[in-house]
Amino acid sequence: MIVAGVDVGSQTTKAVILGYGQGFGGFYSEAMKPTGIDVPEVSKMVIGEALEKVQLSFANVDKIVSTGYGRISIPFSTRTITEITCNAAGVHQLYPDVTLAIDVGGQDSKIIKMNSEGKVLQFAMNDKCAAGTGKFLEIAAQALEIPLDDLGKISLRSRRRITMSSICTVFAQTEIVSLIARRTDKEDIAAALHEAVANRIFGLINSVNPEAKARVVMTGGVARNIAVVKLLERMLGREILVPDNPQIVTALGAALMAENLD
Amino acid sequence: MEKTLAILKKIIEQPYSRAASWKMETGGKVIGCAPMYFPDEMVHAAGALPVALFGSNDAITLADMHLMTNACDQVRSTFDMLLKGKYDFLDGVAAICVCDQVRFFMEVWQLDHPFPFFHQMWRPYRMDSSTRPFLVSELKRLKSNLEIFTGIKITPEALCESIRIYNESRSLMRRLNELRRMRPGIMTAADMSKIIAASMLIPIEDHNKLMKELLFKVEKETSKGDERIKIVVAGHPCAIPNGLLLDLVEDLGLVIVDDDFFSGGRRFATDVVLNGDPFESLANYYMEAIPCTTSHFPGNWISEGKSYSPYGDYVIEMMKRGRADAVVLLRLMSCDPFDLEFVFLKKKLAERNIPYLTLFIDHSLGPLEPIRTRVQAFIETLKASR
Amino acid sequence: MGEETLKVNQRLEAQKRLGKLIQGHYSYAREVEKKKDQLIAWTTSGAPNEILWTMDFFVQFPEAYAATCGAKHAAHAHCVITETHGYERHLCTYCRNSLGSTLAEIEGKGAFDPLARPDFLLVANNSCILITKWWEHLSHYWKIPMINIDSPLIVPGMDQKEIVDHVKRQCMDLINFLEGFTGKKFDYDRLKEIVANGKRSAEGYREVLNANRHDPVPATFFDLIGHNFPNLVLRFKPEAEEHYKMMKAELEQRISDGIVPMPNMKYRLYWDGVPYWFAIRNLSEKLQSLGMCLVTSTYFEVFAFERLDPSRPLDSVAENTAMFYLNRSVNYKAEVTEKIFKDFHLDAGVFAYALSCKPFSISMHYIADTIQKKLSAPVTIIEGDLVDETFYDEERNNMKLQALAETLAAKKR
Repeated sequence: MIVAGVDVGSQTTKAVILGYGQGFGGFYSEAMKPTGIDVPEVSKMVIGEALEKVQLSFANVDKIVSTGYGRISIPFSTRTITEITCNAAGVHQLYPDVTLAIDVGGQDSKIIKMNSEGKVLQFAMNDKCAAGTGKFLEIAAQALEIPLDDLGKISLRSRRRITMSSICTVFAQTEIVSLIARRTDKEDIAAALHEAVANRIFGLINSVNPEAKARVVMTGGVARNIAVVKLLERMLGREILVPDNPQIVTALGAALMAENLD
Repeated sequence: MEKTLAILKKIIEQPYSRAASWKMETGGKVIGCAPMYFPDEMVHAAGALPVALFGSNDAITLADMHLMTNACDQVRSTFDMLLKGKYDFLDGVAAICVCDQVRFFMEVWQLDHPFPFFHQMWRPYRMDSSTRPFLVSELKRLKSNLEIFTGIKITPEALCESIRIYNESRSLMRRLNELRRMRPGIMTAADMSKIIAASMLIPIEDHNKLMKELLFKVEKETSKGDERIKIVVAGHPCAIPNGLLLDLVEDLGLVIVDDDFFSGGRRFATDVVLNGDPFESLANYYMEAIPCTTSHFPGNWISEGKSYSPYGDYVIEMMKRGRADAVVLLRLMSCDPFDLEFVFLKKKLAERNIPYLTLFIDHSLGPLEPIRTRVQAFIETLKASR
Repeated sequence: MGEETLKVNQRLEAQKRLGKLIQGHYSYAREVEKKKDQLIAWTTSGAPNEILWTMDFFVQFPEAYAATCGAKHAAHAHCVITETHGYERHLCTYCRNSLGSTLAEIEGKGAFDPLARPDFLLVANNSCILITKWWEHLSHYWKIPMINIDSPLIVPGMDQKEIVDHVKRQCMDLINFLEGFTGKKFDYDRLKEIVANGKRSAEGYREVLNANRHDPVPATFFDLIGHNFPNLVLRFKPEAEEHYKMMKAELEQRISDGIVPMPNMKYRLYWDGVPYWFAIRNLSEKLQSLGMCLVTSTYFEVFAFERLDPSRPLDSVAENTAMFYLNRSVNYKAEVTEKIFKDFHLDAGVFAYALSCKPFSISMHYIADTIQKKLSAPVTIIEGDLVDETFYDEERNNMKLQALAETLAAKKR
């Protein structure tokens, strides 16, 4: 059986193809593209790209599960399942003993508490605010004129702790500009910004009352930011596991859910 | 049933048109009363028409110039409508100051946009035998003010009669609620909410008549094997919850069997038990009201290990009564009383293993997408745990 | 008096004395905690505290504690602890500082210079309704009883006697409860003595405030704010009255010697709201650089306690609580503000909007407008918070103060 999972995020769309012969050891393929405005089109393209990599076509696919904010716009999916359930499924597949998942993407932050079987017990999402998401870091990188990929590393070089007062992503830009005007080091500003993001995520984590000993995984684009991960590790008092490709986990979960559809 | 239901729903589309026409027909006074526990019976006994100040779903454009932007939606929206002249037909406004926001904002309303009748009533935050006399004197002060304003004397008999009519309204609404609780799906939550809210916008006698017609038909309805998961909705936001939101929740696979909205369950939970003196009877009504996050319960804040939340107990009782499986909390942002209560409420729900979902329902709902995701994810969670 | 004859000296002897009084109070707290020979109560500014003092409680004030934490930049950390426990960020930061420090203490993490652990909680909802819920949470965390004195918002048309009777009935209940709780009988003679001390302290406080009617002032508003401590916390003892007597003498001496608290005093300003406890130095410097001298505020009215009358001890205590300044209508507050502007010959107003404090901030815009329209006095509204410095935008606030100074300069020409 060949299944596909497609995760339509606000910035990028990801697809995973799973083929089952003997368990997971069949074949696996993935692809990712910027989402753009034509969700059905881009989803088709991403799935198509992943299929091509393993010399398959749409005709070979038995079931497709779509997830992410754009999931209902995909007419060819067999079922739509929320990214909460899919992320949990993907995390559980990769790390069976993890019971707390942190997923931070372009505009969304999600915290998922699950049981030892990967079933979702409780979840929390950011409400109408981009302050604890990738967006905040993107704006920060722009304002500081640092490439987004280097932002985390640069913030680790900070030597002086400053507090930023802006709660809001938009106002943070003004504050950054005025801090630069006062010759504050970019590393210090970057560190303060990372702290703000980590604080927001940490607040969300607390709202699901995490277990003291729960093992934690972080996924989503922001998991690539080493500074955010380190800060959260410090706040949680434990190690945070980050998969090699943190952005593909939800799509993987969607594919796994597709496999279980009757 | 469809016809009566349509009439009731139409009232919500034009909430104040009936009040405006009543005013023209009778020459009587219309008083805007905040939906939080205000004794509409008293206004009725003075020959005036009480209508609820609900706010609206329109964008808030003027209110923020005067007020704190982190005020709750209900207060901002109501003030906005006031500034836009939508309440100009009112002869007065009145409210019980249940929280700091209502307490302090109302004054600014009156200063900004004075009404001939303006009444802030104080319901003691702690209700027991030593504070009860003040509550009675507050009810009497309201009576005097209404008498002076309308020129109509409120005799004890008139007040008792008004109380009886409102009790009838409450019992009719209770019966409808009971039916929808026992037979999930015979009525959508959005429709239910509109039916109850309508009682606060037109003369109560007219609403009672419509309710009787509606009940006559609804009594015969049966639940058609509803597969959806039963839930209760709590949070008692002081506004009418958005019908689109309630519809979305029910379309996605949940069915709402009970609620504690001010324009819902809270409105008809208990009756004013008439016991000789109507003021004493009304005082008892307040003292025995169902728990609220805006009241203080002296005594048992000390408890070993377990969290104390009388409001939480009530929500759980409501859930059990409706044989529901979960709770959906509808919250407004920046609601001080609820936000403080929530710290213990969620502990209590966790202690009793009751699954719950929180939705922020500020009227500028924005795209429904995020709400759809949360509700769907919640349903997936509930199904997986069965 | 020409400018050349004025000497600048910001230091007040009263400040040193105040420091000792505060220090004494807090070290006494540590002792009582250790020796356990006195019951400890936490209370609010407007509660009928004379009753607690009469029953020999050692009384502490979480609101004052919050101000201290704010000034020492320790409040933000306490607030963050509450976020971990599920408290929303928009909630009053006095409350969150208090709950945060309580949680830190209970969880063994240690709070900043904490108050002594309480045995009893008293609260009056005459400052706001939220405070009662805040006290409910304290009662739950500390596992001790609390009593709320319901104090209605006073609106025109309400009968003062009804309100005071209502509060008095609850005071009688409180006395009954405390007799059971402490095992002691309530001593009405002691109450009378305490009320007499309080009256003298309140009179002294008022005289100190009135010293600033003089032009130039002997001290700025920021120099004076700490001095509500004796009237709030210690008025039951003669030390409070003594402090104010000496302070009044010192201020009068400064006036006759031509000593002023800052150079360049061009404009006399009004402050509205709770001071931003963590930003006092910032604001002082900025205001000084602009020649703006903060003279007085209705904030002082909160701590006036002028209804105490030893000829009717319990009644006057009930009245003090019932007629608390914060519980008055916005019209009343606007009138008091207007009167202050006139009595103190003020040129302009700085209104300090506090994001998390609804009672102070909600009517602020209206009062500012009233002052501007009725008195043609320029006003500005700056933004911040009581104790949480992450809500304070220095750039924008400084800009607003600058703009105010420019408006005043243009007016003078």
